[in-house]
Amino acid sequence: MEQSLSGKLEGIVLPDSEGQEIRLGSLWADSPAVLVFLRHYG
Amino acid sequence: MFCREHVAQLREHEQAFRDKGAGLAAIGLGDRLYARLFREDTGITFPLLVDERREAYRAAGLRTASLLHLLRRDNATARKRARAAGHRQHRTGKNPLQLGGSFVFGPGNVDRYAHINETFGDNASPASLLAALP
Repeated sequence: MEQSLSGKLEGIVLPDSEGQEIRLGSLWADSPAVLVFLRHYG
Repeated sequence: MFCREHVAQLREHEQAFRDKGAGLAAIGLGDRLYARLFREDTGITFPLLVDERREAYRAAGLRTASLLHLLRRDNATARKRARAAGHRQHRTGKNPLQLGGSFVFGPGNVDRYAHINETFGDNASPASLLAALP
């Protein structure tokens, strides 16, 4: 069975603007989340 | 310019997302300094994540534009719309041809909505994001 996109992304860890590391899956583990990829911060 | 327009739209609807029990987060290229300045400029309070190696962009299957996209009619229309709303182009960063996307996930690993941007000004509408929330 093909893995969901959320499943592919859940383990990726990225820093936020303050340097805190956030695992993407934690954003939607318990409640829905809107995740927006911007092109750049310009 | 389109990033700022999109973020302004998201900010306007942030409470509506919260009212539906949803969180909101954005991912951008560049580095933490870019992200911090962007946060200060735009006044956003939701998490801004930095993906310098484009790891999440690649995993999400997001597209890369070509310079020919600059000539597309839909881009010209989007530029006019963004400028009319007062948005201006700022620094373009290291990967100006990277395109974005918008997703609604969860709770758990449930994919509810995906919008893969076709070109620069092609962002998901807040209404479509709200409609995808459970």
